[in-house]
Amino acid sequence: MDTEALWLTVRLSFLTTVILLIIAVPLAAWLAFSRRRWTTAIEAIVALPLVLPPTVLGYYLLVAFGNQSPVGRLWQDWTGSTLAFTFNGLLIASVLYSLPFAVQPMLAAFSGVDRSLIEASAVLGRSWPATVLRVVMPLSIAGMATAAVLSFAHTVGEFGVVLMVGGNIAGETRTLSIDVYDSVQAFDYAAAGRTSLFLLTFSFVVLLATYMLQRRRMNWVRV
Amino acid sequence: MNGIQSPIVVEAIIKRHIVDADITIDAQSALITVLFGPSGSGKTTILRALAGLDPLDAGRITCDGALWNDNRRIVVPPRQREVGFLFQAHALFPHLDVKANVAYGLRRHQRDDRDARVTWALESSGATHLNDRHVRDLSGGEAQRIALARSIAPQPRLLMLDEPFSSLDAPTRVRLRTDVRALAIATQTPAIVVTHDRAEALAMADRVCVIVDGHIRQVGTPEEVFDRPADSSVATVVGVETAVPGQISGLRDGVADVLVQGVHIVATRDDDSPLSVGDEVLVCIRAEDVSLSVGAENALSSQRNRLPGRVTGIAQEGPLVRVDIDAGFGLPAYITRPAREDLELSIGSVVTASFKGQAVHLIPRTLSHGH
Repeated sequence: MDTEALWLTVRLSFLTTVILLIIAVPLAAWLAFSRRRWTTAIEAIVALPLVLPPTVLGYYLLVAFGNQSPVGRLWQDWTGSTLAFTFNGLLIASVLYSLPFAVQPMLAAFSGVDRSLIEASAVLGRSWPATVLRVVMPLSIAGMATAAVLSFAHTVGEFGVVLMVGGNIAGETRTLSIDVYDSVQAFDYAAAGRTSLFLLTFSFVVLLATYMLQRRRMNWVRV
Repeated sequence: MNGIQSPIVVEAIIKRHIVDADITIDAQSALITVLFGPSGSGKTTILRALAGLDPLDAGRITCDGALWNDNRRIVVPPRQREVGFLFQAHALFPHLDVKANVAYGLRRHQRDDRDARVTWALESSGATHLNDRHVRDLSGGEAQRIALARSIAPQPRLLMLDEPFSSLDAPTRVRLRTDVRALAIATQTPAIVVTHDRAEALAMADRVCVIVDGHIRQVGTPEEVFDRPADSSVATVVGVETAVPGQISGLRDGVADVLVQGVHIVATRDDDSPLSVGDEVLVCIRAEDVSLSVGAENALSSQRNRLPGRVTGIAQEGPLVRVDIDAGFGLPAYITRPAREDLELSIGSVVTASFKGQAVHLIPRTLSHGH
């Protein structure tokens, strides 16, 4: 198995998960507790990557990363390099692509927190961020853990977006899933089989752990 | 560490859903205000609006001149209102222990000060012994005591209680409401209490606002509201009864002797209410439990009260006649029209009012000194 691809995949998935947790907490909290009507529209936008073909997302990202777009130009002015076909571009794509896998478990967990606890915190003088940090998040540990695990696993398993945005550059954008594709293209079925088995085992173990964790936490939280 | 609070004046015009109420909370004239009404009348809506938890549809709320709500806009958010709020179902944080719950609102305090306040709040709420317990191991009454400690620890300017005892068993409820009133008086913390329980309103209030269908129908002392309902809607809600302050002068088997404005009466004891001699109580007698006979006759049997009095008012109320009697204290009676004719009653007639000991309901109640 290509250890360089493995290491790259782990690095990408880990960073994606960290960034997602930071973005998804305020987003999910806002979606769960805001009274504004257009939260529904935002919720739909967040869920888009679930149904959108990865190639479509990849296409738009490529356009956004390009010279013609303000985002692409701004990045180039700052860093002197492009986003397309780089690790950083891949990271941005992964964050967007896995966003629903982080937001939705958190949203479900946050919505389940007793509303009067949040009101009690407010009346006791705590700000909204403090309330999320001290009440909402501790009571949503299972949802937070699920969000982290699913974000990680989903990033490990992504293919279409990586191929579109990252291409297949060893050490820069070649992840394990691309490696399998690459091996098959080169008729190296033995290598493809080894990597596939690894990914299959990994995915199963991750999901098993998630479900077990969820069940245990549920018993622990529900009193 | 009993924080003497400066008196607070909250003026509110609240329109939200069915509620259209104009209400003033003036802690100087009444320390504890009870919002009393049947369920669905809008009392909780009013309380939540005052706390800033729900916005108004229209109206405004000011506190000591500062604007809290301006129509739909919440100008001062709940966290800046310095109020304590007691929820119906305690709302303790299940992931924190008792001490951390009580300390939750004390983030701005130094560590030593915080510990001292937690200790003080637990002690004042009668919950020191629950210090080391975990929240999920508390009974309903214990949890509500911790919630009380949590709400008073930051020394709020105003305490709000939303039917806080409705889910508790009767003896616990009686003890807690007595304790909460005593605590509010001791710390001079003004409080607003929402309840649909008549006994609770009588036991806790310095001032009662009766709310029916989202409107405030009457505001007055509990004696006024329960004794002299302003209109028929209030009368239906409060039930008509005498409510006069008295003092326990003796306790015998199942019977309490009560001194009411110089008059001795007997009352059958309620198992719910732990009483001792010298306790201040509100004596409640419903008008339909009082019967009348002509002529003076003063006899105190063990189970029945017979009080001489003079008729001070007669009024037709529906199928019944309401007769007000001065028996040393104001005592209304409901009698039938034929009974009135038989008795040949008129203003100034001397009558004997009688009622059973069981008809007397005693509600323990601390007087708020200085109010």
